[in-house]
Amino acid sequence: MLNGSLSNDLAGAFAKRLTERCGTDPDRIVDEGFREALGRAPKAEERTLALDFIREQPLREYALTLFNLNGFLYVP
Amino acid sequence: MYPDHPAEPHARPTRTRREFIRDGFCGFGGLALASMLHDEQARAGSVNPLSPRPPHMPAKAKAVIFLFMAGGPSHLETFDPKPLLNRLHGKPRPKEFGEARYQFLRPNARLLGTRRTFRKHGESGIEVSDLFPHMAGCIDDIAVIRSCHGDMVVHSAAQYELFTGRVTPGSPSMGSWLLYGLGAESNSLPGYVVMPDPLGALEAGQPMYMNGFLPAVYQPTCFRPGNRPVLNLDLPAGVEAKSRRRTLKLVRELNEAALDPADTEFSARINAYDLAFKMQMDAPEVLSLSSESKETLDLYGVGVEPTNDYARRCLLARKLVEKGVRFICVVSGGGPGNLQWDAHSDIEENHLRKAAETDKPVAGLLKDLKRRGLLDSTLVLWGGEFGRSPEAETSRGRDHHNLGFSMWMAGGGIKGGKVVGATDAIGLRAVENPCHFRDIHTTILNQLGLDQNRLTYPHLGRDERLTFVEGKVIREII
Repeated sequence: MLNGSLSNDLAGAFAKRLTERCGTDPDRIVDEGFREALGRAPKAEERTLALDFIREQPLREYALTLFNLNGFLYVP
Repeated sequence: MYPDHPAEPHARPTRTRREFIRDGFCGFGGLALASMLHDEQARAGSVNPLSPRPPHMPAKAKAVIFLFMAGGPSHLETFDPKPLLNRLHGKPRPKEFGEARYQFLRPNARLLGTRRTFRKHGESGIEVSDLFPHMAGCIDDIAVIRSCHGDMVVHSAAQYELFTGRVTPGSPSMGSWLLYGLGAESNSLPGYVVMPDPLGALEAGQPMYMNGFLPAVYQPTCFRPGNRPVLNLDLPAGVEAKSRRRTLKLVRELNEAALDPADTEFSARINAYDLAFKMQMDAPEVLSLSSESKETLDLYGVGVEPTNDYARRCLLARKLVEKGVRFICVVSGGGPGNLQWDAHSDIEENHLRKAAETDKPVAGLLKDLKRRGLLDSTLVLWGGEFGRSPEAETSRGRDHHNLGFSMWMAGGGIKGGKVVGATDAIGLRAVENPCHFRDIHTTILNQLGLDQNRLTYPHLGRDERLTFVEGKVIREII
C-alpha cells in the first residue's frame, strides 16, 4: 500500500481529482479528501494535521496517506 | 497450554473480515507486513506471542532449515544401496518381503535395479550414490535415517503428514509449532519463511506450511522466486525516504487522532507502519546476495545452471538463519510431477536432473554453515514426503513408496557420520528401528529444547501436539 505501483498511481490520480475539484484551496482539498476516502469530514485535530502536511508535501503524498488510514483500509 | 507461559485469550482461530480485506489489499508485500502487524499488535498487548521464549530444556539448535525434496526422492538411488535389488531386476517381488500398497503399481510389477553406483565416503564410510558427489563430501556431518516411514502413499496426504503430523490439512506445520514454542528472534524479518520452487505449487498447496489452528501470528511468509523475494520493499522511483517518512508520520498522527481508545486492535496496529519502514530499511540488505563473495557464490553454485535457482535460495536461507529466522523451508520441486522428484516414468532422467540442480547447493549450505560456526545451532533436514518403489513403473520409473525410505539430518547437535535404521534387502520396508515422521518431529523439537508432551495448544477441547500421541526421540543420532 505504501510502495506498490497501484496505490501510488491511484494516489496521483486522486490528487489530480482533488485539484480539479477544489483548486488550490487547502481547506477544501483536505475536507474533500476525507469525504471521498472516509465518507466523513475531518475532525478539527485531523484538519490541522493535514493542513500542516500539504503546506510542505506534494498533494500525492496526502492522497497516499488517506489510502493508508485505518479508516480507509478496514471495514468497521 | 504452554506451561511456562499460560496462554492468554490472545488468539482467535479465524481471521476477521478486517484482516481478510487488509491482507487482500496489501498483496504479497503485505503478507510480510501482515506478520509484522501481528508482531506489533502482540507487543503492544499484555502477551507478545512472538517474543523469544526459553525452551523447556537446554537447546542444541536455534533454527531449522528444511530442504524439502518435493515429490519423493528415491532412497534406492541415493542413500540406501540394495545390491539384491539389482540381482532381482526384472523379477517379481519375492513373497517373503510382504505386501505393499501403491498409488499406481499393480501386484504383478517387476523389481527395478538401480543404475547408480554407491561408494563409501568420509571417515564414517557411509555409502552414498554417485547422484550426490557434493553431499557425499559432507557425509561425516550427516546422520542418514534409512528407516523413515509415513502412513500415506499419495502426495498431498503425505505432505500434510510430513509437515503437520496429520494426513489432512488444518493442523499447524512444524515451523508454526516451533515459532509458537520459541518465538521469533528478529523483529524486522518474519520468524518462519517458506521459499517455494518457482516451477509451481505442490499437491498439498499452502495449507501444509500453514499455522492451522495455531494463532495466525505463527503463519509462514512465503517468498517469491527470483531476485526480489518480497515485493514492494523499495520506494517508488522519484520518492525520497525523507519525504516518505513524513507521510508515514501523518498516517500515524491521523490514525491516532481517529482512534477509539477501546479498540486495542487498532491501537496496537498503528505502530505497524513504522515497523514496515524498518523492514524496508533492513530486509533488502538481507535479501540481496550482492554482498556475498564470489567464492561463496561459487560454493553454492549461484550464477551457474542448473544450480542457480536452488543455490540462491539455499544461500538466502543461511542469511536468514544469521538474522535469527527460526524455520526456513527451501523447496525443490514444483508444478507437474516430473518437475518434482516424482519419477514415475524415468527414474534416471528425473533424478539426474533434480540431483544436478540441488546437490551442490545443499553441500554448499552445509559447508558454509559449518565454517561460519552456524551448523552447531542450525538443524538441517533433507527429504521428501516419501521414497520410491523397488518395483518398476512403466519399465524405467518408480512409484510412490511410504513404507521405508531415507531422510537425513545435520547440525543442531545431530551426530554426523551416522546411519540409523535399515530397510529390508530390497528397500521395501523399514525393518530396523523404523522412524515415523512423528519421530523426526520429536527429534527436531528435542534439539530445539522443546518437549513434545509440553508443547500443546488447546483445540476443539483437546490439548493438541505436533506429534499427536506418538513420537520418540531418535537417540542414536543425538
